Amino acid sequence: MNKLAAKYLRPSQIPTKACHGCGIGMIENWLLQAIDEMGLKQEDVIFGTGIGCVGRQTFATWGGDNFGATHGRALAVATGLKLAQPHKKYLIVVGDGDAASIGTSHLIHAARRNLGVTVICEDNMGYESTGGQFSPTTPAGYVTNSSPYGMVEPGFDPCDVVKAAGATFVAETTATQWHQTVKIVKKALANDGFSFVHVRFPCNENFGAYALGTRDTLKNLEWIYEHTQGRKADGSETDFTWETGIKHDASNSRPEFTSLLRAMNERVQADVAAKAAEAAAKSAIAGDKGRDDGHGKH
Amino acid sequence: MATVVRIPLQEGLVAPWTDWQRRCPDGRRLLEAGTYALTEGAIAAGCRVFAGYPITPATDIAEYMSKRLPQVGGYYMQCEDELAGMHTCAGASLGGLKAMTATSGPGYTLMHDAYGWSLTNEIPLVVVDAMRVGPISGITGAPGQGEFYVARYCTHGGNFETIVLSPSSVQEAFWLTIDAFNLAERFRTPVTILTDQVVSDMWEDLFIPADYGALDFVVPRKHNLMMPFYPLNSADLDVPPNVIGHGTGVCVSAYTHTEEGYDIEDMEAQWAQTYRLVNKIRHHRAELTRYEAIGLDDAEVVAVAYGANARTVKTGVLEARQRGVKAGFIRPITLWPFIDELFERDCHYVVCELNYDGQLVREVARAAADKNKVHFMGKSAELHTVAEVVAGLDGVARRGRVPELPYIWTEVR
Amino acid sequence: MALFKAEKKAPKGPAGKWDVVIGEDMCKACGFCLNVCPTDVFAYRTAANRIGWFPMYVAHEENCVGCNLCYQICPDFCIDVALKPGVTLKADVALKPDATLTANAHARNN
Repeated sequence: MNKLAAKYLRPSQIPTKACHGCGIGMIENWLLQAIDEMGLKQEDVIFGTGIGCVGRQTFATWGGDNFGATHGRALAVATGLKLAQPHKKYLIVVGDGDAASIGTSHLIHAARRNLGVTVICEDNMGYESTGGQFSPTTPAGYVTNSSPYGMVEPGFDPCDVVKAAGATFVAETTATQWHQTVKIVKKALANDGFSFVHVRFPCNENFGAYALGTRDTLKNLEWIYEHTQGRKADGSETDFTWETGIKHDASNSRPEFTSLLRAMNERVQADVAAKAAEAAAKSAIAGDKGRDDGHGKH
Repeated sequence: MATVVRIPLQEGLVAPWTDWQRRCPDGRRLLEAGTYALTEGAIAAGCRVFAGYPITPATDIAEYMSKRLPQVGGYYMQCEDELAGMHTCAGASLGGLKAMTATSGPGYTLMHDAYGWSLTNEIPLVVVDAMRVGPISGITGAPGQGEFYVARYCTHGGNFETIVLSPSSVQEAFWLTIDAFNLAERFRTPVTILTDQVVSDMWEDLFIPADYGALDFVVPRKHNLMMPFYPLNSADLDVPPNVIGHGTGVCVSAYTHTEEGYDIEDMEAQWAQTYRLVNKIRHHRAELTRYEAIGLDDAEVVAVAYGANARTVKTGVLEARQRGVKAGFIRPITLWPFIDELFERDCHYVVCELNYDGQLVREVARAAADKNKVHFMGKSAELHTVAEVVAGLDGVARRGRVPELPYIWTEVR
Repeated sequence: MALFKAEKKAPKGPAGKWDVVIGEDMCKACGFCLNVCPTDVFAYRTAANRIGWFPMYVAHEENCVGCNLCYQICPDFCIDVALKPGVTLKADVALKPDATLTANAHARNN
């Protein structure tokens, strides 16, 4: 395997369970580059994921500490971990199902709190692990496993959701933008706050089969490329274009959530100590045992 | 494979805290509520994270925690829902901090996914479910005991055992919470404390030790830093919990997993992991035995109750004795794993529960020597009165059945 | 311009200065590296690997100009591209790591 994989990944889990032509492994390769270029060691990074393709095909590939939470709840687990281990870098790698569907509530609140984690939302525009049903990011009108007459529901962009909720770094790339993704992930990791990087990638097995009419790996990645550029190979316009790049960068402009809690604790404990000293001084003057606040020496 | 563990039946209170107060004579006596006792018990046990969502009648625990945890360097998290609450507790515990959440029925239901995740990854946690009365959300401010089975079967997939305890007084809630944290550490598992609206909200005499740092009966958090992270095919107790953040490379997920923690899909692995999750509890039932028993030497009819209504039922038993009925009393404190041995005596049992559909009574009937001698007195929204209990015990002793009493349900089908 | 190049160009510039290593045992034969390569480095094996795919192999390492597109596009961590030991690059064909795919490809082939 390549040098960065040998440095950071768990050999028993490579090759991964991902299908041939799946974009998950590519993106993971770029994450490793970002981690390596920032000088981070395996023990500095905690890798968390969820369920679905992005969950199952990345879980346990990271050689360091990692977790695969229940569906949609990776950020809830990460919140608890960040309380206990605030000085690690958290890479929460989840799919469009985990982030933009079942787990959107936790996404919003983690962004609102400015929890110091980096969420990589790898989006294959459907629930591909269960066969290719549509998801909130499936393009309008597309045929999928559960929208045989075309997707009726309007979709949304999770970038808009987290930006509105208060995320301090929001960016979007696709699976044909490796250099941008590496650069953007480095910025995301450097933000001591909530970073959200949305990366769209191809699924040739399910999305390709139903929505694009082909499982050809090259055609599926070309489709991603075309919708990144806004132009097909023959020069004609695509039906839509993704807006890629950094969408919002307020890195390090707001306090990270757990740092606020630690600061509060310091104030509270200083206050408690001051009151105890005052009470002790008073009782020394009064000459009796004194009364504390009812909690003893806790 | 089977390890047969038998629990001997004794008279009196069988619980580790019978001598704890003696071991910490310095303290204060307060008049306080059950929720206060549950909170202080957790702090005394070393809990440093509470993550939950307010819900009657557990809300006071959240409020107390929001005040107390910063005083001791801990963290209070008010999560967006109970799903997040218990997952955040699991994450905090995985990161090395003792954690607790507290809820009622509607929130406990939302915690099932997180409960399963914590169970299968052997993460120590304490979950308080302060039950209200059903059906479903029922009456917000009345006591019920509708989650007896739910607490045992608190998540999906089967192939696991659970530990569930239930206090019946404010003082007991304090000690039992410390005990719950200890069991969570020793067994590497979430532990449910089932209380109800009465035990949570009532005010009673409460002794709390002066110096929490000097409690020699608190099991401290240790970290497992080496493989195997999950000792499969082993029922060993006292394996330290895994920790994320110390560079051990541990994998944590809800799938059937290997000793390292990554997912694996063969039958041998399924057996090995189930062996661990089930037998670490079943083989050590002796460590989990807590109950109160009275008058069993010669009892012909034994009243069975736990939690809040156990108070009035016990008084009813003593009253019945005064009237010449050979009555006895069993109060399980460990609800799960269920202590079958408590019901092996061949006599009548009158199970007094705060529900009408009959839950504890089914377990007693299963365990009893003669299931035809198991009687049911179900009640909802109010505790059993002493008069009702006496009438029930008297009825069974003299005529072999519980008499018709208003709003007492006696059928179990 | 398409992502994949059916027509390969003749190698120029820093061709022949690169070690290309592919972990054939891990290859799932997606075809990305062969098709994104601007020159002609890769080919398919005719025997399957142990995971059941006909993997890529480095057929013409001397054609490699070091664009690293294969390294970036491989979904299975199979490929490493590095300067051969003791070899240096001329300044005017140094890699621009921040450039887009298009710009890099132009830089390689002009």
